[in-house]
Amino acid sequence: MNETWFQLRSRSFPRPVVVLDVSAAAAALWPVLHSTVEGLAEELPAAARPDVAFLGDSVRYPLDAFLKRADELIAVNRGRGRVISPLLESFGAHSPARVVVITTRPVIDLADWRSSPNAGRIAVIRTDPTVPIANGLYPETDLADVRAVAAVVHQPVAQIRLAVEGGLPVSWDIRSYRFENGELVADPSAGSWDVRAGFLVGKESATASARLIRADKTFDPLPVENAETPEEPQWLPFPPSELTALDAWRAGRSAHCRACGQDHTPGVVACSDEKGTILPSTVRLGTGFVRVRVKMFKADFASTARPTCLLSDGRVAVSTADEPELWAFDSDSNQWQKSDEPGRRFERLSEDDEYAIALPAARGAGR
Amino acid sequence: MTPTDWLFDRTGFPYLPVPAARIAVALFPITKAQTELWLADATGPGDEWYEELLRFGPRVGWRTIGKFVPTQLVLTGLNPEEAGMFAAWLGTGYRLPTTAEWRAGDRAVSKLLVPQLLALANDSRTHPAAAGILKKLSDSGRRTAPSLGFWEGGVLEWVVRPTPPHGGLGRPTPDPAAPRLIGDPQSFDPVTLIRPGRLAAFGARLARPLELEGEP
Repeated sequence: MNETWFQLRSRSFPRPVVVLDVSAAAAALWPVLHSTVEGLAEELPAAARPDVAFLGDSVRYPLDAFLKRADELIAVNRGRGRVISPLLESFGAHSPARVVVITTRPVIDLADWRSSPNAGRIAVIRTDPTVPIANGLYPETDLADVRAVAAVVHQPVAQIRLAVEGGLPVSWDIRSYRFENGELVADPSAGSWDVRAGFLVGKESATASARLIRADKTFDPLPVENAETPEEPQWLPFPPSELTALDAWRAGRSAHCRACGQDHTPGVVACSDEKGTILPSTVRLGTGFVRVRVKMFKADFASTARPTCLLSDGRVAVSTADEPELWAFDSDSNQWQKSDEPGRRFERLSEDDEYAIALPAARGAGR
Repeated sequence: MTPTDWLFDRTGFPYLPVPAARIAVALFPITKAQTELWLADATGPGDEWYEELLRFGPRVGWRTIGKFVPTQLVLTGLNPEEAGMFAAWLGTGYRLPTTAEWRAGDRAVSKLLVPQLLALANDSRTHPAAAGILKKLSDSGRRTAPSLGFWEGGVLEWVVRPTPPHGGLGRPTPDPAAPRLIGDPQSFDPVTLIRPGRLAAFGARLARPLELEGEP
């Protein structure tokens, strides 16, 4: 098993696009289309506002700029045919999250894109409910009100996921990520999505993939590159007052806690009232597993906690809000699989008296 | 094999220089993909015109996957005047070829090797649709340069002649449902119509001068 590190860097994405039908058949609808676009400017916050384009054209106008020049733009674009390829071809490798076509009649080449990577981004809003447009190839709704259009246009980010095939995340440097089913996941509330993460992999080389997933389940890849393995943490000494508890746990006994006056079973660091701790030195480490080395009359602990811990039998314990989870590598499937057996809060890692203690918390974090 | 010095129209579709006839002929008859670029233009012919033509020849998109009828990539049902309108949109100098020019183009294409055509797919001047059509035809089993350009297995194509002013030349795909004897276009006279009107069997291939004003 190798621990391989990767760096995910978030990037910006093109704004969604609202594509307007300005063909001869839609000429009478221009006031409706114009007011719909105006309504989007009121309905959506500035950061979520789409670009505007015309069927037949490849040019995208930021919504606010479009509204300032709407009369001029319709004058030079009126009469364009209902084809979408010029616009979709212009995206190259940087497609917007959503392409919302507002049209009165079928778009000639829309079905051509059903097998393309852009297919999942296309949605249709029909101005005439009696005229089917998408024939089931793309989501289709009626132009009922601006709010309905805004809901189709704006697909907020739901999650960021980072995964390695055959790899298990064992450490990462941003607390907003969490371990979920063998992948790293961040929710949109996370301040930054940039993360450096280590994965335990069975092969010498492994490739990481990261995806930004939107509310409608469409996703975009995010760039991931190899990163250097971080330096080993420093080792810090436990004060003599905490050695008694460690000695008791090593012997498989409960340890008496001066803070709460109760006995703590091996690995239970927090007092039952959650106000105190039997190992005050570890409080500043936050959550996850802390490695501990015990020698004659002294003990050290690693200066950073990790959300996971590689056990002596090759399994990996993962810190959770409850008991740690255990994950084992299945060489037949080249996948990590979760064990039904729960992990322990105090684990012996090696014969030379190195242990891991699961610190109390809901989520693992830190290196 | 020497590289072919292709010329391109504003849609990025290729033309083969035929110095003996002092023209360049389009590799393809006017395709639906090209027509849709014209249609996309605000000065284009409008959706209703195109929808009328599609009733004569159903459309297949070059991006669509699976079995297809190759001639559905070609615009059919248009009359010579409409071909002339498309030619005018392409620019000054584009026009229907004469019978002699069409035949000269046919002979020139027959001397090309398939790799010379397929190299167009890697030419940055080629529109993705032109490259896609070549690949689609090649993947469908077409193995000669004329068949990759619809000179074989295509449609009848309007040419300019003295009287009547237009006729059709080509080697269309035989239609078992309506067998018809069409002679070798190198020696037989163009097919002419008794009554004007739209016909699904007719398309158009354009020609242009070897040099155009303002072209590098």
